[in-house]
Amino acid sequence: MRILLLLLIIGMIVLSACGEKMTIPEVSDPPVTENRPVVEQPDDYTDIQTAEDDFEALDETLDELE
Amino acid sequence: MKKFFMFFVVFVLLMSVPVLAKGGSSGGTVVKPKVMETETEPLDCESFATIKERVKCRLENGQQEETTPEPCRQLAIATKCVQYYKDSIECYDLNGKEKDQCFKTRAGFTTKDVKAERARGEPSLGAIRYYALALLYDLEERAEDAVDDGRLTSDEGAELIADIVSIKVKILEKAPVSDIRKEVAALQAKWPSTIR
Repeated sequence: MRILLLLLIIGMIVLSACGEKMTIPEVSDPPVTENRPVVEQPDDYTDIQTAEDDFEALDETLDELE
Repeated sequence: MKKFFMFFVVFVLLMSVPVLAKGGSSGGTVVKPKVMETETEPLDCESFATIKERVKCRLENGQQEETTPEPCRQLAIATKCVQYYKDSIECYDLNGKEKDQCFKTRAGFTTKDVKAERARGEPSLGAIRYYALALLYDLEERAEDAVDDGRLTSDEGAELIADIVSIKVKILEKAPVSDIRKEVAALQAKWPSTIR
């Protein structure tokens, strides 16, 4: 019986902790990105998305080391 | 009281979710050590003789403490090499052009592309070599991720990473570019299509 009671108490603590993290912000909250400084997007940098992009950039880099 | 103690132990164990994170399989800074699920003595990956064995060990067991990155070992410029590894770690969290910009800035580029940088003359060669290292490290990260999510076995991953380390060493030792190209071509040929 005491174990059941303990389980119940601990369960409630865990649930309340999880619930706190999952709180949905109020509708009136401004979007998170609104106040972020605008990041300057580079123009001539290589767009590295995949392994193929890495190999391509590496090939161009080796050209310049020759 | 005994029952309560037993229950507490079980509860704590259940709450201890193991954290699995990549931690630089070719050595260097510990980003996040893999948490061992058992209380056994952590394996000393440095005790293995070959790069592939050490890399495989780190892929399987994580890295517990900071070591000198594999390519920087036995180099006259080891300190500078290690510092570049530390400086460029945060670049790997970026993507696309921002990642490239970060690599180049940390390597010491004063321009946006390799051709323009090379036009600066001899002093730019060091920066270009470090940039090449960053691209290779990016490939290494992709291989590590593939091992982490089961697309590659640790043995396959270790083989790719050992090849990458070998290319990095050649770049740092200023080996002839034709030799480096051969190794890069071999790596690209064996690169699994599942790792993008």
